[in-house]
Amino acid sequence: MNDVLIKVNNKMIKTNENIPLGIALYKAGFTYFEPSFKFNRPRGPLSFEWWSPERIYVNDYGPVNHYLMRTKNGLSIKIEEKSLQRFFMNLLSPYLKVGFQHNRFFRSKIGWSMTWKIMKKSLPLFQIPERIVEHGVSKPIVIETDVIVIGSGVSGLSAALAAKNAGADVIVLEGDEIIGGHLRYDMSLIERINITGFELIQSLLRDIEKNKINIIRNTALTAILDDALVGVQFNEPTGVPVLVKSKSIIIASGAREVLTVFGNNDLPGIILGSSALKIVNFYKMSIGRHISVIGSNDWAARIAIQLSSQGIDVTLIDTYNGVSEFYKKLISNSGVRHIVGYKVLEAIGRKHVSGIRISNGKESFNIDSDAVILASLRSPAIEIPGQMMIPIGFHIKMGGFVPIHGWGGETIIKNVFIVGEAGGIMNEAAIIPFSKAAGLNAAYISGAKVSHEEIEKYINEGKSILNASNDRTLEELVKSFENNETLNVNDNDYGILQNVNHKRSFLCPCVDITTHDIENVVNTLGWTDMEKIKRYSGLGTGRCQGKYCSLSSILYISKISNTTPIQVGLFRMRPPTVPIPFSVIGGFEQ
Amino acid sequence: MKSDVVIVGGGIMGLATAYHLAKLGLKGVVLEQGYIGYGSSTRNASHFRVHFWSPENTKFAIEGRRRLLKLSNELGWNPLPVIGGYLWLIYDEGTLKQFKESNKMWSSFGVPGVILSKEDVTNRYKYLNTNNLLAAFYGPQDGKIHHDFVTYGYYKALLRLGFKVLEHTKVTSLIVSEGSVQGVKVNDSIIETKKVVVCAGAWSNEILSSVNIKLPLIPERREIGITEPFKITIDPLIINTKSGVYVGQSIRGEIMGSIDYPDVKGIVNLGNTLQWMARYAKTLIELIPSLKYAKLMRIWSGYYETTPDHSHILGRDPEWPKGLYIGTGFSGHGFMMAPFAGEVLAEYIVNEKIHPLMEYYLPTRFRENKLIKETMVIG
Repeated sequence: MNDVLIKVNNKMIKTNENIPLGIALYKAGFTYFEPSFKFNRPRGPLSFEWWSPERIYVNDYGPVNHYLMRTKNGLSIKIEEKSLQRFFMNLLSPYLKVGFQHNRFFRSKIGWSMTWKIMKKSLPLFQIPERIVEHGVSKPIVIETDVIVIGSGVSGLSAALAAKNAGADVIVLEGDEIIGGHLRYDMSLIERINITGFELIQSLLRDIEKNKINIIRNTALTAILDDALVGVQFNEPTGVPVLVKSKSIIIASGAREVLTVFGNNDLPGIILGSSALKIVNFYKMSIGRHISVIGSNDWAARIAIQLSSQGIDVTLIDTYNGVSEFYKKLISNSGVRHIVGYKVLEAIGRKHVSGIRISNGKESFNIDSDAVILASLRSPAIEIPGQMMIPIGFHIKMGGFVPIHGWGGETIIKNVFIVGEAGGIMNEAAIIPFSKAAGLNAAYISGAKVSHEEIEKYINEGKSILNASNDRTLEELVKSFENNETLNVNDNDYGILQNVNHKRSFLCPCVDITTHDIENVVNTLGWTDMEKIKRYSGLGTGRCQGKYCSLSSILYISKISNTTPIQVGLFRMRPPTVPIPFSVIGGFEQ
Repeated sequence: MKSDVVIVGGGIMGLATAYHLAKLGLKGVVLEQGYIGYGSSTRNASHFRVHFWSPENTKFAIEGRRRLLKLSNELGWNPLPVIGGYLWLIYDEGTLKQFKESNKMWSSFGVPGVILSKEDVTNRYKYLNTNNLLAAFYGPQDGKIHHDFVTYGYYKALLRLGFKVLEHTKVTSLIVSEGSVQGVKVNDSIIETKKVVVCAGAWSNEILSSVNIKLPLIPERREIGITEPFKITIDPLIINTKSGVYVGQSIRGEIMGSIDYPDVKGIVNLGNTLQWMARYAKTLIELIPSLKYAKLMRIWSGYYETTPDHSHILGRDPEWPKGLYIGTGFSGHGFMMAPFAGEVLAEYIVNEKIHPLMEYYLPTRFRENKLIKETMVIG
């Protein structure tokens, strides 16, 4: 790998060529990427993904996605940490609670015109670049096939193999540069399969290669439009427009962790679970010697175990004692400090996290942490089913909002199937046969000859794995699909709402909205539906478009207003799934 | 259930009308098929202007603007008005002449604009590509406003005045007997009333069809999109009179805009098209090249409920059943006109007094062939 020089403000840093810019900066100690929208707080990357909402300002291009932008020689970056305007903003920020504009002073003619003048200059937003370096506009790539699979994780690969074996043409799209989904960098044992995620993906990839299935990397389906299915092949700051034409679609876009709520949960150094594993295990980057993992589930335990095996001092905060016996045993054989029954009150630190404060209601203490990993809950990525208007139910044990589907991935749209964690969280061993069934279903819809006994066989295999662990969640979801009923199961927040009473417990880091802001809206206006709360407060309207914030916000609103998450309602999913540069979209006009 | 008055439609027009009816002492109910503002009020470009080709619309819009700017006091709620102006980019002599002529009329109403030379535009708006530009018209009175806050401001004030607002309540038909309105049908129940005001925007004809009335009103779907937020740089709403693209920056910093393409008519699903997205992106980066890598974050669509003269319809036709009123057909200008339109419509309903500025907008103008001459439509 070649070394390259990058300029950050006025400092030169040496780094590898063609690696994600965010990772290069993080390695060099720059974990502060931008000031936050309103309160001017330090913000780093909460995730390292193609869909990450955090941006870095690159001279010549403007703000770019920190993970998609690759390092190259001569790149020049501006991170504005201090300025006079920012100083003013700090003075103003205590008054900028949601709804502040309606106070008597701010709504008066003089008050508002003064406030607007200051805000206009001082809101810590990126400048529109004065000039940019031109890249030519690329012509669209047309991807035409029988079955298109969105996502190359365990479910996508399993479904693709089944469809291909049935005789259908299959193409897999993967948004990341890494093929294999989150298990690709998961080095812990998977219960009931007894190999690691990494080994599982490697064996699937060998079959993919044998069967000559094409996986297109750095490419995501981003917009379901009336007249086209539109995707992007990322090449930050621009990309290549992609048109998808297929007889059927398998959505295997997986799940992602959501923002766990506690004080200062926006500090740099706090990272989502799968992103943390990716940068540690794949990009071989150290994120610290002391790490706290927050999550009351097996996934959090798996992250803790493998970090510990690398000699890192790891603490697992398992609030509700939610780790299964299988992983409890593995934890006890590892060096992980397993703390049960404590909640995280706040993260400590000014520009980067240095620890967390936890409490069991009686006593509280601090744990030193160079990084904090959020693994409270993996929640399905529902942007594409949402855009397709596939009904979404709520089942907290499956990760919160889940698209309603049948055993074999069927949805209300005849040629669209949902597999794996995109359709609700469950054991990976069960995901494989269900995904194969969906692969066969998609092949059948696309015109291949498929034996229905074989589909039944896979479904029964999946069912028996779930029965063995007494898991009824998928059964409940499928029942609502078959009977056309609303799915609404919510018995616990599974540790997402750790501490909602802190002054800076963020629900929405993109637009700086705290629990207190939303409590205020619910109490003073009496509104409990997301449509109004969103429009009034701006919640969920930032760059992540709900990916980080929707689940925790809706759980919080339903908790304080005694309503169900379904009554609160989900953000309307609108295209695109991730923001797309105009240069790419303009390319379709050719 | 019984009510003095029923308003069909919980958008800006329905809410503003109801608000003024409430102030005149009526008690009633607003029925909305979705959530507050679902139809068009939460979907629009949230800008307002006073410059129209027709004197009628100009005068009406001046009053609309005045009311928008006073809403803060009126409702105790700040809709965040910002006077950033409108900048019309002109590429041909014919259009320039039209602006120059109309500016005389606008000046006579106290809202003069400024004709800018190509050099002025190039110096003032450095981010604009001014190739082939002939001149520009700048309307300094125009601006932007937070459309959700306007809608919710009315909504809140209305509840305070004792009106009921029922969301997710779709009116299936109007009930008329002996030539008078008797009520509206909602699902399986009936709300009895002697007065119904239809402010249902694109859905107005759907509601009126139950009493065999058809307005010359066609829903036209328009798409729109916003980027990730940037520091406020684009103060005015910029309209390219040649390509039809318009772009501005919201109060929150998102760059918002669209282009009048493709032509989709009727009540269809509110989705988006690649045709629109691609045409908009290409035209926009021709106009503002530094937005090439700006990221389009969210797109959606909504309706213009368009009339043959691109002007609204207020009041009633004497041939209609007694007690039936309408306030609709804003053709994309509902947001700027509704605060005034609601006021004059309410006065008309309660006092049967036609405001001089409302006269031109009666539904009878279509059969009497007294159309307003208006083609100055954006998007």
